[in-house]
Amino acid sequence: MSNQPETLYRALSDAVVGMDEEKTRQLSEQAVQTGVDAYTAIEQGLVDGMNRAGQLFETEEYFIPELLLCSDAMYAGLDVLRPHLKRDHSVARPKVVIGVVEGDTHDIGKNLVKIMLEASGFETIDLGRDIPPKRFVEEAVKHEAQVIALSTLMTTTMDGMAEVIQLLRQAQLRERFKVIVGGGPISQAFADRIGADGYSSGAPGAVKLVKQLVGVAA
Amino acid sequence: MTSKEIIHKAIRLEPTPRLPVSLLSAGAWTLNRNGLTLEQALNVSPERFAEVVAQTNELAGCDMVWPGSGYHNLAIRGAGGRIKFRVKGTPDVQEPILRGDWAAASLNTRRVQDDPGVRLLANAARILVRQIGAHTLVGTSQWAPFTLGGLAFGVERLMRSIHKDKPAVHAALEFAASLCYDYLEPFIDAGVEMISLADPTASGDLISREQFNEFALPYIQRVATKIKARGVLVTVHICGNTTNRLDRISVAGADIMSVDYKVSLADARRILGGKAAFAGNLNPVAIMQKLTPEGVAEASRASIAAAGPGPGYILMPGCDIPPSVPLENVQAMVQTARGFAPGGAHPPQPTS
Repeated sequence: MSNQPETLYRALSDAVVGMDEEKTRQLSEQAVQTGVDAYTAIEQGLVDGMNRAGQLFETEEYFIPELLLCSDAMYAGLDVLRPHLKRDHSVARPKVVIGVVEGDTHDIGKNLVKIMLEASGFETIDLGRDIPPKRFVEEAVKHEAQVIALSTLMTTTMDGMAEVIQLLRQAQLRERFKVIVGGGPISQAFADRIGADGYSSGAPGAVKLVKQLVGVAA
Repeated sequence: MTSKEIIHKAIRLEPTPRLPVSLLSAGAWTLNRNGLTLEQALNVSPERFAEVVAQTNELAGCDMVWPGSGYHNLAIRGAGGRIKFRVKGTPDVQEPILRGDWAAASLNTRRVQDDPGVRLLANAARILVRQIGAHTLVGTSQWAPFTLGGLAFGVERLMRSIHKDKPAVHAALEFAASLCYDYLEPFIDAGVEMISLADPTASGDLISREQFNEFALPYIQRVATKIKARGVLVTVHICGNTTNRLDRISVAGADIMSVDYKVSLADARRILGGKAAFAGNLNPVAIMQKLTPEGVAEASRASIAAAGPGPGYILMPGCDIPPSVPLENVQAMVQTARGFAPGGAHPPQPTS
């Protein structure tokens, strides 16, 4: 392999999109040892690989099993590279509080959105699943988040999303956070009706939406 | 001709005097709208449970009823897992039961038949078969093995293991296939005539066609074969977009394929026509819950038009409906079908 950093970044990207967790870890360690910039290795290597995986998902070449393994590879690389980030790259990432609403334990969709958001430079506070409306509000305030992302797969639990927005209004906090919604039964019409700031039908679209809402360049 | 005869004719792909129509599952809708949570309904007598289902369908007018639908996760409880009941809607699984170093062979799936909830539901089904089974088709439902296996094994773990540990996936699916049938057997003994196998995790939105063929289809086929050996019909329902795997459904032994709103009924007719009956695809939220009865009727007519002329189509929502769907909207769907004779005078006009 050439010693050019670009070659290493490409190899990292290929290892992520190739679902190769061990190779991604080894290449990340190589990046640290050869002294390449950790931030660039993450951006042009790991994140590039995850974005390529996201594109393959959109074109139905990759499915959930493949996306999960790509994300495992990406996180393995991040574990190695993050401690070597220079300080200016390790602060001020926009925060997103994310979770599955109360009554629902389906979290694959939420996890995919989290993965893609983290790959795009956002910090996520993952509350998990079956989360009461009040907790979304408390955690968003506590972490000074900019976005609250609500997920559900079930038609019976959709109303919990509206409740989060009502709680924000009651606490006069509605303007402080952007609220986005997603999941199987959710639609733009539903998002509009409950007064959410945005909806996306899939994880890659959710990242674009969040970037747009918080004013980060895509 | 009775509702039941119409469904049987549709399944045999023969012309029917009017369009067949039904809800899919609708267990939570039926019980919640009668003021019962799914947990409370397990504490009433089987006679009362059956009465609620029968009375609700007298109002709704569906050709099929599904006592026990909404309770799929009782299979996990019956196998030793924990589930959590909700005020509205269906109970969910709290944690995978196939953890750590497990051996599927050592897990006794037949003990699911000792679960008091399963016993009550099977008894309620038996009463319904006796009371309304002469004219209405009584069925029940359970997750198909791929989805049930995901709940038992952890769905993300199952997905990862598709690449990393195929033997573990197959072991989990063997367990799930046994559990699925063992759960259903008391209902079959009770006389139900249709089993719906629901496989949302096998959707084209989640796994590829190749993965479906390798991990979902063979286990649907295995359970369907056992069900059909008992003389019971099989519906397969898969949520989301399943267009690229519809051709495999008749291979799996399904008498009816129930498709979601993401599948075009014209495609379903093109792929399944002449091989299996198909049902769908009214959007459970955007149409059934949110529109007026007039809107539901209009959407129903659009679905009928999209399904095209010919036998074997059943008007149905694309999935289970939320508990808050107005009865009037279900009635609007049913009345639209009942007013439409395939090959008759009602719009849309068949063209052949």
